[in-house]
Amino acid sequence: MTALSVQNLNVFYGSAHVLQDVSFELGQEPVALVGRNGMGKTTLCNAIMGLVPTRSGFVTLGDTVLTGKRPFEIVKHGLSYVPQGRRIFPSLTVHEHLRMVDPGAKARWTIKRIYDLFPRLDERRHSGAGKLSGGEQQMLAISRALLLNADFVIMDEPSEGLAPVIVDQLVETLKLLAQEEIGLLVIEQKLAVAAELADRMLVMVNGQIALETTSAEMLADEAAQRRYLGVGTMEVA
Amino acid sequence: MQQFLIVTLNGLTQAALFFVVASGFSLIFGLMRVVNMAHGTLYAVSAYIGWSIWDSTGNWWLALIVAPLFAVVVGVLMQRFLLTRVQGDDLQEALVTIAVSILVGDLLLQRYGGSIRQVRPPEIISGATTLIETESLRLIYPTFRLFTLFAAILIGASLWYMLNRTKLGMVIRAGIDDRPMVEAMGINIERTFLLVFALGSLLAGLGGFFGASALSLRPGDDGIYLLSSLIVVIVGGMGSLGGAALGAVLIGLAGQYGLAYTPTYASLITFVIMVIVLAVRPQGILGRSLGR
Repeated sequence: MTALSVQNLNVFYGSAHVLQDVSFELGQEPVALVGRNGMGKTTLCNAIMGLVPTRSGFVTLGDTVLTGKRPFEIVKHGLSYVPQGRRIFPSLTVHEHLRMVDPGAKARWTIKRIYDLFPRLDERRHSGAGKLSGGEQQMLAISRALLLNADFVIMDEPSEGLAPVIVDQLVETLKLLAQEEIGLLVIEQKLAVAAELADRMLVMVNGQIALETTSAEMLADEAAQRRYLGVGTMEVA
Repeated sequence: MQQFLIVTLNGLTQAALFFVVASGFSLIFGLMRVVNMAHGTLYAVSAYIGWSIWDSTGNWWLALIVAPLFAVVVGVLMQRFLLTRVQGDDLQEALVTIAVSILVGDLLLQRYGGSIRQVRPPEIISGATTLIETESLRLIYPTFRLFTLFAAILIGASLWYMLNRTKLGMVIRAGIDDRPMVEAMGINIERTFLLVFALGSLLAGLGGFFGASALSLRPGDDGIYLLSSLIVVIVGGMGSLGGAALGAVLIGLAGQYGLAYTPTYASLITFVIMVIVLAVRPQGILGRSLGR
């Protein structure tokens, strides 16, 4: 079943044609979107979330057209977002972040469940979010997205800047989401992480989906890695 | 000694008024990045309407409740029908609010004329209170000014509670950090904008009515309180409640000490403080630098 569908999406920054007829359909299984820096991956996330205006094309979640809706309406329709750079609120404590989007005790994801999943956040619940380490901030960014109890989550470079041991924990957490049948689109620079998270892979080049493949094929095809991802710019291990 | 204490109390009560008005200005700027040049107008609207209600009914308490609501109505209408059309364009926002301040200021002048007016507070909070009475020192101070100081502390404490203990406060603080991300959390930030504008207008309105009761009311007060709000939040830090309080106390005390001890340079002292803060800490004493 199609969960998130993007059809002929075009985005311009001034005269720059940043997203060019981007189309793909995602089901409930995790999908990784890879590509070099500046190819339009984050713009795609922002366009889907309504954070940048689109020139043409459609984004739908289930039967609902999301294009033209404001970000908060898009979230209400079941899509949530973990942005690049975490973008946590430095003025708020950890607990305030979670309280701000507290869905109540009957929801699938509750604050208690978040603290059970990330005991480190529980320990630091009264700390200012700006004082957390990179890994803790990422846990917090994921937590607030989970508390929205979305059907589909978009994560933009969740492993960026994290130590390898934290990345391993992150991968385990994201696999848990997949088990809960939460749709997942993960934008990832690290090919190994992307392949571990998702069997299906989209490759973005110059604002277009240049290749749709499986993670196994991409890992095995060094020529494709060189061609689409740039040798020396990707961490393959 | 007696003079020093009275001047200090004058400074603190002036600071109380500055704080009430400037905290609204700071909240609106902090969340919405709107430099509301009509903030002083909201002060004046409430002050004049309050005077009318008090003059026609004699009921000061009724005026205290109703007059600031007029400021809220003007503020909300301005936000809903004017500022949303120019959102994100700093220059246009400033021009629109300046236009509103000129129009409303002239309408008030037409309606009320240029004479000085004052609202007389009820018996229970007017007159004089003896604060200290010893053989060597007797300190008597206007009761209403003390009431204004107490009201400002109460308003400050309520604002602190709202900002730090309620969900709305969390959304406002988060919005000051990163507005688009608040929307991406499923929160309608436009609705929060309207609430904050209403709250900021209410504070300007309360300040206006207290000002008309504690001091006086005359044409030009709108400009004076806009300027004082600007200076207070520049010194204290935009978007910071503590900053507004600190800035108000500094500017209030400096103004009154200047008037009492170096009258020639009184207004200069205020601006010297502002220039020093701008040079050393441009984001204000308790302000954070505006990153994103």
